[in-house]
Amino acid sequence: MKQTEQKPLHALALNESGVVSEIAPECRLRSRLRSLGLCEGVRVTAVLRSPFGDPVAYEADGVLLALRKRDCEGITVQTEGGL
Amino acid sequence: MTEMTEKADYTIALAGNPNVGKSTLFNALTGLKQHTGNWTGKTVEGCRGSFCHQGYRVLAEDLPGAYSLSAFSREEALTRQSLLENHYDCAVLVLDAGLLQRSLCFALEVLSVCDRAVVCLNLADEARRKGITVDEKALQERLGVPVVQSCALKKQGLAALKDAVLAVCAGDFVCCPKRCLNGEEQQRAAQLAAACTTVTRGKKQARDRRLDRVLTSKLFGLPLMALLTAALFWLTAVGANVPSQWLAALFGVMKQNLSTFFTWCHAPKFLSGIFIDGVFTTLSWVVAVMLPPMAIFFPLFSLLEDAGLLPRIAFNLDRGFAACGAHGKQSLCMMMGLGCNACGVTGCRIIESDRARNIAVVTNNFMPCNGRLPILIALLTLYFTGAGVFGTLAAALLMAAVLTGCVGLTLLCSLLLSKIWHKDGAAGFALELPPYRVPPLGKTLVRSFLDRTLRVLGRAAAVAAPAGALIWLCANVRAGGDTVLQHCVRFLEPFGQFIGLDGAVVTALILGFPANETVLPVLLMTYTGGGVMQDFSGYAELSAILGAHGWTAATAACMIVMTVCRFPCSTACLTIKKETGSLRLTLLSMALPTALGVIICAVLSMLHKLQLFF
Repeated sequence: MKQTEQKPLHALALNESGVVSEIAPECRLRSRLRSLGLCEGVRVTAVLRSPFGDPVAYEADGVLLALRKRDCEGITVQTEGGL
Repeated sequence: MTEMTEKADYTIALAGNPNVGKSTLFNALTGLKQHTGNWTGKTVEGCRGSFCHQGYRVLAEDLPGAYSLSAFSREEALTRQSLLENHYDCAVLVLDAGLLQRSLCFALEVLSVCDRAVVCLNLADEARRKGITVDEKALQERLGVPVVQSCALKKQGLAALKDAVLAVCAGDFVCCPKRCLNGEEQQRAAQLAAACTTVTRGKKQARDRRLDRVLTSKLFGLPLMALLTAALFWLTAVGANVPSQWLAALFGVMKQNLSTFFTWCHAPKFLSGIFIDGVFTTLSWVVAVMLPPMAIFFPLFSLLEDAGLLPRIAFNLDRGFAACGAHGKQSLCMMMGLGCNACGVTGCRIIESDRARNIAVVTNNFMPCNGRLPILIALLTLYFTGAGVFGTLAAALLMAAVLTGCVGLTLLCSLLLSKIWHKDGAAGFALELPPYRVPPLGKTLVRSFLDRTLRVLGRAAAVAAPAGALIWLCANVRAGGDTVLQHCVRFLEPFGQFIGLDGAVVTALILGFPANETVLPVLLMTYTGGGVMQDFSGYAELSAILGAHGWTAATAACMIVMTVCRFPCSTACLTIKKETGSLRLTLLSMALPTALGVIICAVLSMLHKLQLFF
């Protein structure tokens, strides 16, 4: 059985991936994220953590994008917990 | 407009997500020169043009970019309305081959209301570079409409696109779009994208990731960046010495010839003074001092930029800037500020949020530029370290300490400004980390030289010429026995003493407004009582002149502070005005550092006088 879990983007562990299920309308970066290729339905993977822990770089659709934790709060991803 | 429609055999529309190159494609098709740009939302209103193909005249309309037909924004509403009401003979759906899934969402929405369409996979070459290849045959089969790959910028795939468009318009190709239910577009787009694209996460990407892991690691990230910055400055400082001397020698010869010429045509003494000793000397000075470091620094900086290293620096340092309400990219503007503050200010364009950009602009001057660094090095060497190998090493360490102080001041002021401007709201941070690339050496060097170095030099020279005349007038026009310069020095003496310096230094700082490089020469001119700006032949001579006018380590310390914390030069001020369009911000960027410098120096000199310090 496939278990799924909803969580904010910044809760992804390094190298964990999930599919963006919602970008809150109040998210400051909404339109900018879309133009950079991060939108609902796209699979994102947390790839790099900066030396001080924040921001984290995510890979989405071949684009490597660094986001601050604060800005990730409005972005929900769906991960496949377990196997 | 109706006239055009009547003449045309078919009407088509270009639609797609923002920034997929619709306008570029439109221009390539129609030969028009609609302005294009690498940002979202360039085309806000529809634009029309036409082209001929196989004897048919086709009228094309460029619709504003949209993410969906749900009409969130004005442009999306316009696009939706056009597609629904204008009954185009064919809709060209422009997709970004590298971001297929996202682009397909929109295409599927359009196909559900549109019968006749051609899908154009644009930016195909860029996608290929990312390791993404799209199987257009497979996609065509699954969508039920023709699919063509193109690269509008290089004018590739245009003929095939025109063929496909005409085939659809004329009914030679019968479209039967495979529609999906409303709301299921995303899922379907994901399926299609997965089925039709092959991503070769090749060696390149794996190598990039490995490099990224090292460059952004806790252990190596920051030391490597510090090393890189140090190397950049060492190369600039060492490399600039020799050409600087050549230029100075060249200008020396030119000056002699000019003098001979002026004597030969019996020019009045006033004219030769203001022109040769004033304008020419200052101008040649600025060029000789400024050109070599900039001609080395900026191309090197551009190489780092094109290689993709700079965004990683911003990524590593963002945490610190975030704590001060600023943007990680400010670190890059600061690095550029070390080359030239005017360039640093222009560089702030890369910051999207207004507030963070203004903070970066106003605080950029805390990074001492090429014109101010030599003063700092000279004073550190003369007053705080000895000569020899250890002296040089100590000077380098002290210089690093001073630069750290500059960064500290920048962050402090950023914090202050972000607290004051908190009402403007913090903007989000989204930084794209591009793939590493070996920069095209020749192209980068030429471009950066022309774009940055020459432009800044031109602007500086334009200011330095009249400033030279003014400085000469100050030093040579007499009123009541003394020169204007001497009057100024006497008037400013009490204030100079208050901040631990003297009237001559304050006068030199003010007269150095047009170009920071002239501060030390003007100071020496004032001290020696000459009427011409002069250089020092070596540190020994500089030390002797300064010592004779009562300079101590405390004076040098205050001078170092005033060199860092002072109003930006006129070129930087003009640039700030141009970039922000705000006089208020320009004045603030002048007042903030100056006030800070005066306060720090006043406190230092007070402590010194009370014998608490030094």
